[in-house]
Amino acid sequence: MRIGDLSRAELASRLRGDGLHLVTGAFTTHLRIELPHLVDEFARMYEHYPLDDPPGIDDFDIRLGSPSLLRKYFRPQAQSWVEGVDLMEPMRLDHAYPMLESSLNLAVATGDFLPLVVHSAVLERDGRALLMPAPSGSGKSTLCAALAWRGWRLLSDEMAIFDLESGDLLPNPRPVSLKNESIRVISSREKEATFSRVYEETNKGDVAYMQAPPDAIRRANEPAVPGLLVAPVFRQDSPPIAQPLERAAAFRWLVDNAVNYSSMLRTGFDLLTGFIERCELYSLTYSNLDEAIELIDRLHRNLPPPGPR
Amino acid sequence: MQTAERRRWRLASPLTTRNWDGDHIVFNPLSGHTHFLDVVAGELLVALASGATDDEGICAHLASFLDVPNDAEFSAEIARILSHLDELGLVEPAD
Repeated sequence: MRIGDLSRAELASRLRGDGLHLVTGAFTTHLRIELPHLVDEFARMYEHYPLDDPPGIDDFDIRLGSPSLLRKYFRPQAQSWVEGVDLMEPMRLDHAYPMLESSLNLAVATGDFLPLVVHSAVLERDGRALLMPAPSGSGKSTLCAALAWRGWRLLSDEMAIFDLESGDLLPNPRPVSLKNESIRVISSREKEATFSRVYEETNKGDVAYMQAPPDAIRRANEPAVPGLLVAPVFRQDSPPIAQPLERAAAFRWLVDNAVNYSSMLRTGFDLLTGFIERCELYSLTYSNLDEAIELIDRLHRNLPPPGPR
Repeated sequence: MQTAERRRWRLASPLTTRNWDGDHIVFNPLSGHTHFLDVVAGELLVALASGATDDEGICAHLASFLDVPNDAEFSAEIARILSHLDELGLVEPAD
């Protein structure tokens, strides 16, 4: 059963009551929402997602509601609880949906779970994974959103999840977070895509979300073999330039941006060094999305066959 | 009596390493830490992986590897690196 199979009334009732068990690829989240106005946006952005029904074992527990009875009525606010803990300050009620998305990210960042997780966008083509680790402002999410409608399958715009056994990348496709100018850029390019409304004046500026392409959600149980690591750098008026990246520099970036590398000990070391040795590594400076996509496609076409782990 | 210059060194534990074009990535199982070492410190660990070696042997090996004079300045630099690796728990005196 998918979220979209439930009627609006049934969805609201289940979210308000015992909650839903939402499957987003690698993770299942027990989700309860006590804020009625949030239901429509959630239903639109998650309509294609399957439910774990009957429920099995959840990875996370998230609840969104009012921080207090007073704040339910007077200058209403939203609060989230991840595993019963309010990890974020309350937000104005109008920002409840960005709060839900942040909570889903926080659940992974603070969770006690097995896979190794690194902050990075991940896509797949012909079975090979493309990792795009980059800081805010690099245009990573914009590039990721554009690639997701140009022959690449979205695994995640936020986190690379490494399977401990195989070292392959596990999908966790969720709505892609777009900020400020990238909202206009992507919404004007991708006519097939479904977008949330724009949430103005959040702590990250104006934010909107692009629904993950339905195919990415349908194939959310298909992992991808390491192939490319491309660190994008947006530079005004720059032609597209791909330069080989040193292995040690790429490895250091992954370690510094891993959620739980240190707790993985030798396993984490073997996973990330193995990943680096199975990948072609590049930095990509660009200013034009189509040129960047064309260059990434070329790098992908020139990949050698996957080597042994 | 053995002088400080003749001190013998060994790896504090078997290390898991990668040598990527002279950048040495080292996992220390005792601390759980990952270290990023340059070619000199990395090659020093490679030399000790073959067995305990004294300062003079280490300096001679590294000077030959790097093709630089094995003089007092070089010995002092190697002593500083050994001390640092000792602090990180990667090497230890063998005696």
